[in-house]
Amino acid sequence: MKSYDETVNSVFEKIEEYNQNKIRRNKLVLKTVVPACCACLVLVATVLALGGEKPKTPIDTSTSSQKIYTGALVLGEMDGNQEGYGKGEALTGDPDGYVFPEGTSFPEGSSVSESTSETSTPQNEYIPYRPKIYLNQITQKAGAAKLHFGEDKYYSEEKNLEDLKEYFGKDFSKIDFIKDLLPNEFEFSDGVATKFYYEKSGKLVYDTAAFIYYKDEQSIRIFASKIGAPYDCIYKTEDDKTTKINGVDVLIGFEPTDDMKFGFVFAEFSHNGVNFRITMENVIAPIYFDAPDMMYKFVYNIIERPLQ
Amino acid sequence: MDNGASSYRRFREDGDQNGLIEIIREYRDGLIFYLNGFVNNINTAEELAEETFVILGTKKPRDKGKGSFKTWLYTIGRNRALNYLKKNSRVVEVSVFECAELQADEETLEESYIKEEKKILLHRAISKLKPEYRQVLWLTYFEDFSNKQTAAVMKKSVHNIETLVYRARKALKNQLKLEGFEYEEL
Repeated sequence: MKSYDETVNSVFEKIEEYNQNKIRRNKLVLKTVVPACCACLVLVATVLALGGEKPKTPIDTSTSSQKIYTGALVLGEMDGNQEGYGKGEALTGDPDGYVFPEGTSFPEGSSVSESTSETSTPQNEYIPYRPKIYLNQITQKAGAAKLHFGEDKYYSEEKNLEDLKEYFGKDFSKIDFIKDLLPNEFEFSDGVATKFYYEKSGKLVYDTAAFIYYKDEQSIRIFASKIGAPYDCIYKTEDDKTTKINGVDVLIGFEPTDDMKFGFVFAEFSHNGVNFRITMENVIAPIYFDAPDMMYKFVYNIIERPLQ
Repeated sequence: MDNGASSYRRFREDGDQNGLIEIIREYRDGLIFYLNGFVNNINTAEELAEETFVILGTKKPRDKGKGSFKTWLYTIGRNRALNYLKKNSRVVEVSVFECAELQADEETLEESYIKEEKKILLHRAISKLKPEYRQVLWLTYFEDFSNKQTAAVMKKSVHNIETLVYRARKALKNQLKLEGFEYEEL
């Protein structure tokens, strides 16, 4: 039988032992759980970085606030708020969300008004989540050598819109969302048709098609080709930084003019085996003000939207 | 000392180790006897009592203040004893020498804790009763617990305790008669 002192000593020894074990356990937990958590975070971050683009969502006009630009263009709110414009924020002249290569800057803006008009946008319009847009300023334009297809070696075939639709898998002449995005009535150029060139052996060597929308001096052009670059004019930029749009690398460039902000904006990308160049030219303010933004929407819709 | 509650508060909240030492000195022997009612082995009861104090020192449970500190402490001890019995359900055999040693330890403790000769005889008679009677008689006669407190420790209703005390006293009288004693207070 222990004396009181022995019992007291024994009790305090056991308490001390318990506390030491507890510290050891905590250290062990820190050693194993913390690295495990870090590994999980890295994994999650990797997964998000590789495939974390936000899915497209049709606009819910019952809840979305509408923004009106001078000129009565109605745009739905942008979906997502991680980068660039936040959800529900107005598309203002704030250059946040645009990334300019060194030595270039955001063109001076014109006034943009904002309202909460009840004017609705089409239910089926796809408004993408917009990440940072890298804007590359054009420093030089270079004309590529015009291809010559001599009749001795090549023959050509005229393609109509039906042929092009079948060839590219989409009908770019009926892109109704363009009208949703523009302030004025842009018309599809009726006379568009293109020639495909073949070698005598039957091998296709030239398949560039151009789909043009215009309104007076303003134009939006979609160039497409499966087998080569869909253009004969090269735009050299300071820094060819691309913007990821729904997983597709898109090169977006611009050329500012004195009076028209973004005088010229182009985007080049490849999707589903088709090489694209989209150009926006002479589009008047205030649309011009957010031309890169609109370019993003065009590209997004071309990539994602099921066309007729 | 207010039944140990203030000592425990000093230990728990201020880290004053003397608080725990006071509790050990005040309650060790009584707790050992009470726990011996479960395990019927004074050394095991001593270990269980020690474990009970270690729980106070490590987990530092909060006394909800529903009863006295002593009632709460005995409840913790009881739970330890029941856990011990659950884990050691097999009968443990002890040698003749060990048995004699255990008996000597118990007698030493009796002399220091119970002191009165009459009560020592009574305790020895109680130790021959069944565990439930041993526990209830120890708490009511030696620790002066009320029926309500005893009910709280043994996790029974007050009515059950009253019945149990009645039967235990009857069994104890018979035991004392067998041994040739009469205890007037029973």
